[in-house]
Amino acid sequence: MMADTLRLKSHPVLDINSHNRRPITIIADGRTIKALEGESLAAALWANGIFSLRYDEVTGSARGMFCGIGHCYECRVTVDGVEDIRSCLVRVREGMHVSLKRPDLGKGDDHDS
Amino acid sequence: MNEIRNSAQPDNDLVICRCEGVTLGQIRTCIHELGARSVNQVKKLTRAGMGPCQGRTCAGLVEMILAAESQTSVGIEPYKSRPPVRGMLIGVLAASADQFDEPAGPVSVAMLRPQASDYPNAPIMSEEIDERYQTK
Amino acid sequence: MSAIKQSDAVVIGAGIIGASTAYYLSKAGVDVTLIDSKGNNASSTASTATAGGVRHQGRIPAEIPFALYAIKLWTGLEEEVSTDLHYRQDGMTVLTDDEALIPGLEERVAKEQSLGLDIKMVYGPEMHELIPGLSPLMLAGSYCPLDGHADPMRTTNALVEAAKGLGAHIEWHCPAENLVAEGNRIVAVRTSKCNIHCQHVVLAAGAWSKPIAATVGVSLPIQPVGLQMMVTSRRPHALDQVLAWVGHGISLKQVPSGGFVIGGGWPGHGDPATYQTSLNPGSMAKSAQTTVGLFPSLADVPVIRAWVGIEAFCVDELEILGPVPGLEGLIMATGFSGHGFALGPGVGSLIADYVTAGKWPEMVRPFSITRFGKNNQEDI
Repeated sequence: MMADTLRLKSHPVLDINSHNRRPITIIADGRTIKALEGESLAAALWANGIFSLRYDEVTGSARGMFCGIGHCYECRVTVDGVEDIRSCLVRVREGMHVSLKRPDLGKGDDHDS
Repeated sequence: MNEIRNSAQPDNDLVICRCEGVTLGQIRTCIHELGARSVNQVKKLTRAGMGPCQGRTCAGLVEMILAAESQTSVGIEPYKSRPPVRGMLIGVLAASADQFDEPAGPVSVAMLRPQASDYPNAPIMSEEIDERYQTK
Repeated sequence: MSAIKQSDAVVIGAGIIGASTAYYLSKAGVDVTLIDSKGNNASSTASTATAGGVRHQGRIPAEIPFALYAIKLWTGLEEEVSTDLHYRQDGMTVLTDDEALIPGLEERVAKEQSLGLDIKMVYGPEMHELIPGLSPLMLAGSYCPLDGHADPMRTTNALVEAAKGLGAHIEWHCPAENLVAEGNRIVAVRTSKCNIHCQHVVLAAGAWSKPIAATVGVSLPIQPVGLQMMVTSRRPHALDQVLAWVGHGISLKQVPSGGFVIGGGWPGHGDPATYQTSLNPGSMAKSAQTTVGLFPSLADVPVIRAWVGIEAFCVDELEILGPVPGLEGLIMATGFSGHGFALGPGVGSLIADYVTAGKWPEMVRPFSITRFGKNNQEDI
């Protein structure tokens, strides 16, 4: 995966500053992921080619970052055991454990019209 | 989003509410067959707007669809936002309970009382009572 | 505007009670006009803030025979209205963590058994096995396997649609202004849009019933009470039963779409005159506190929405249901005091029997308006 091509290096408005961010590692579903300290978790996962962050509970479709600004709740993942964290809003730090939501339809969804 | 208004054959499978998977077709059915005329009615009948984002993504779209499908752009009651602004963990809410003096407790109803033979006194009444509700 | 219409029966109020009544009346061949001051599924009503429980237990004993009758109708209801109402009959347990309250609970269970309920006490390990996730502090509970819940919005809407399908006329945004009586009988309902000449009027307007009844001199000892609800995000299925807790404000269930619906009688602000409601933050916090006390794992689940609906509470917490002596044609169906959802189909069914065949069975006579005395001058 050409991680370098999937990460912004500079931006006229946003403070990307990627050359000054310390490389760190986080763990996503047991996989070691290279990230840059302080970037958003969604950006770190994206840079590693991880676009599907969860499987939607209603339709089962793969979902990932959509609005990128904490508005749509599509990018929810579990971080260090806490569920429903919007990955576009949380910054990565060394050793962060991320669990991408599994499809878990449960009893209820059989009855959704 | 003029596409919705101008498109000759909009796709009924287009997902409008991402959280709840509600499609354009389902919303159209709601409008044309169930008589929905407000975003809230569409919400209650399809679940559009009931997911974690509480209508942030879809409410505006539903409003536009209502306008397009019912050929009107005025008088469409918008999505009713309700607190909390964002999801609040029950544990966090619970931890704040001691800050509140009122209410003292829930309305007293039979289900909460252990004794079936308890016959209730008047339940807790709401404070503001419109004049029309006073016995004449 | 004084357009004149004609209808055998006018049902005032399209909440669960009115929608059900319009359906069963239509089914019985009665020409029905259902009117509501607002639109379909309008906010601020009791039917939009009910916890959606369909339970036998925990009622004033006089109501239990009627609850048994009504809940039997729920069994075939989804098929009858050709709609998935998300009805589940997976049981309900009312719990206590206080040893001193166990005898009272046992007494209640014995009483309800004698009235024909399939209900029993459960204790300790058996109880915890039945309800995984329950707080370890709970000691005992009253378990009724035939209690359950359904979706109030789908149910109300389905009954309205089914009534329409059977020929009922629905008039939205049509507030009833006054009832019209000639001598001892009701002859019409005057609304903001039209006058509807009719032979029967069913007043099912919940917290809005009082001024309407007053127009023909009928006094209803009911008052509006705002009740607050909360719902969480979806979670994997973890709770089958409906749970309640003696002496604490909570009714807890997990609905088929995955959220936990939390009620329990916490007050919210609501004004029937304006239909405006607002949240009581103390109620939210204390409701959350109670929730964690009952089902600790919910501490990590977010509440995404809270809302308030206005219910009509009667002075003695029982509905005012039935014909009004001295005013032929007028049938009360209001004041359900927070426990009317389950009874909806039963109310509709019995009113249809009354209108078509004059039947009014013993089981509903305790709810007659006559219990407040002749001429009904009781003040709250």
